[in-house]
Amino acid sequence: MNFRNRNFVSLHDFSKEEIEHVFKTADSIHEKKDICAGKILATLFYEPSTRTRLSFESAMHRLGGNVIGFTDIATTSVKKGETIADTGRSVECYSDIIVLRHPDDGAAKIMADYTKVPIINGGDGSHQHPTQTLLDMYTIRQELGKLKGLKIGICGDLKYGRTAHSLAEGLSLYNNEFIFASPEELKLPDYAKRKLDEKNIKYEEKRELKDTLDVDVLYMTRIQKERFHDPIEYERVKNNTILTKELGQKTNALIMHPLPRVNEIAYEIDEKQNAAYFRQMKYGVTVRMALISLLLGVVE
Amino acid sequence: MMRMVENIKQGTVIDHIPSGKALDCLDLLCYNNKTRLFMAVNVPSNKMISKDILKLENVFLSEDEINKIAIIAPIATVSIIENEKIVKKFKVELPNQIKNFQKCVNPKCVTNTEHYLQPLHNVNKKRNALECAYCERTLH
Ligand SMILES: [Zn+2]
Repeated sequence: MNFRNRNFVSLHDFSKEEIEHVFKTADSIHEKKDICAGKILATLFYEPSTRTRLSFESAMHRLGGNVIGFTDIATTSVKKGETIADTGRSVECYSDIIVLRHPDDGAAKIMADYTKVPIINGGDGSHQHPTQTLLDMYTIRQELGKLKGLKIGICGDLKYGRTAHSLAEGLSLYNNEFIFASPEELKLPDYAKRKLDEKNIKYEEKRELKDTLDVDVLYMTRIQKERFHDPIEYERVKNNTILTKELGQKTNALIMHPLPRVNEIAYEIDEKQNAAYFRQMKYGVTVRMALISLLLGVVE
Repeated sequence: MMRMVENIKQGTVIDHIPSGKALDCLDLLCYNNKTRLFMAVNVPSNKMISKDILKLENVFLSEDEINKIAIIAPIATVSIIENEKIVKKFKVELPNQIKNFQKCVNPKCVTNTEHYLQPLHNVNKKRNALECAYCERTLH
């Protein structure tokens, strides 16, 4: 399998076997010391995402490499109207690998098309955030010891929630079942359902979290008030997708969340052994270390 | 048989275009040659109820260039003419990607802000649909 110099713009850039190889590489990546010494990672963040940026930077530092980048476009040439293509062609002179975060759908592909160094998509609009999906899948693999034959509950904003769509796509490579819980207004869009139907994936739709507790994995996401056309409707349903202390006691599922959370998960649940969301962050660094190393070709 | 359109001595003939789609085909081919061009519209046909025909004099398009018209003219046939003889004949075949067909429908797509980019769609042959190569949104 060859990863050297490839891009990771979209989850389907990698086959199922290649995704598994990233996970295998991640299993032993912490034992390898300074394998990226002398290499530079550039983090180009056209919109803030502190957690994603810190995770990538931590990964590169742990590999013995260096990091450059920007997080505030107000002080860069981008503000002066530089194109993504030109920014990419400049930054590749300073770095060996680039992580791009951008508010526009499809931005990562442009940078990948115009540069020779590997590009990792750190989130491009509502299009993709494929390393989030990799780390979500890796978390399930590590915590439950498998990725198939599971019942997965996904709860929250399923209409705009890129994380939820990608996770469902990634996990549907394996034989899994889904229960989706969301307010009517934020239910899974038809195109996402069509993708599941095409693969003959079994799924149910619910409106309340309490009907989604009998699962192996419970993936919680945030609901933003701004997503509702009608504020009264928001007030009416906002508590139906909150994992309260009481509901938390009724489930043994592995509880995950991409973080940051607002109020979707009660703090009392944090102490439970099955609350995996902070460990999930740790797996994120591990997976990103593996990905960076593979794309740079320092491991195979 | 009655001769519908002037024959060309050399060039490219595209036949069996759906009625009324000849101009769209030229658009799709980004046709801007200054050479002579014959167009026949709503011609009675055995294969179809009626069809359009294009004859592009002294223009030689490659299979790759021409195949993208398959999205609007799926059963078009192409003949390459040299010295009044057909030297090559083929049916158009849907390619994997189509450039410049139509702007992406997603207003948040990067192709609508980075203006040096040409619209590019991947052909999803399984679903018979076009998907933006950048944001993956389906074109309807
Ligand atoms: Zn697009």
